[in-house]
Amino acid sequence: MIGGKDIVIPAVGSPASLDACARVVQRQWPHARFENAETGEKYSKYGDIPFGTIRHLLAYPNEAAEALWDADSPDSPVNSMLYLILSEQSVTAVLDDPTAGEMPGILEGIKTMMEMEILNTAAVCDPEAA
Amino acid sequence: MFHYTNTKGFHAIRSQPTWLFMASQPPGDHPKGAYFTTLPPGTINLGKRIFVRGCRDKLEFVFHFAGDDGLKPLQGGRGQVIFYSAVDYSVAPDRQIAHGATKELAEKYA
Repeated sequence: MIGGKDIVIPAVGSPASLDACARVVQRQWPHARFENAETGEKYSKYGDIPFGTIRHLLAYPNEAAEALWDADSPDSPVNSMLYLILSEQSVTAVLDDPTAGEMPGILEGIKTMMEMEILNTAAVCDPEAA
Repeated sequence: MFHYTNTKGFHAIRSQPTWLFMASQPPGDHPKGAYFTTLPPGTINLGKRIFVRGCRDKLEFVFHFAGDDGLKPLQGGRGQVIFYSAVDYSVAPDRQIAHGATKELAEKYA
């Protein structure tokens, strides 16, 4: 028993990558709500997500979509939840249909962000240069 | 390794000394197979992480066995916890650990 489509996007497995994904989601879904998939901790907005401690993030377009999934409702609409998994060399997006609704924009945005040089550069702190 | 199923599947699988998990075509674009997970009963958001809705009955019962011989991880991040066999998958008695209602076993694995 398994559902969803798994889209694997090459990425650096850093908190910044997941942060960037969530920002893309927030842009496409202005009323997005989030949840730590492993602990069930809920975040009513992007700014509440404690990046750095999360590797499995659920995103919902709005409160109603979240409620339907929480209730295990068979009436949850297509693409009413996005499951983002941060791995060492990729971000996996699990969803219903990559071609429906805002999902093409979300996936394109995530792919573009993951290709950005700043996410592929290790942060270096040189106190002498400061 | 865990395999979740409904009442009908539970009775069919446990009726034989060697458990046989039948490969089938899941929804979406996943390959035909028998699917398993390392997520134990009681896992928070189990249904969401498997990405199924309205399927509580299909998580009602569970089989637990040792080893992952012949199982392939799902491509991508869920491959850390979800595995499959492209063909029917049998588990001999020496690999069987437990089976029963998911709710009852959740207390054991808590």
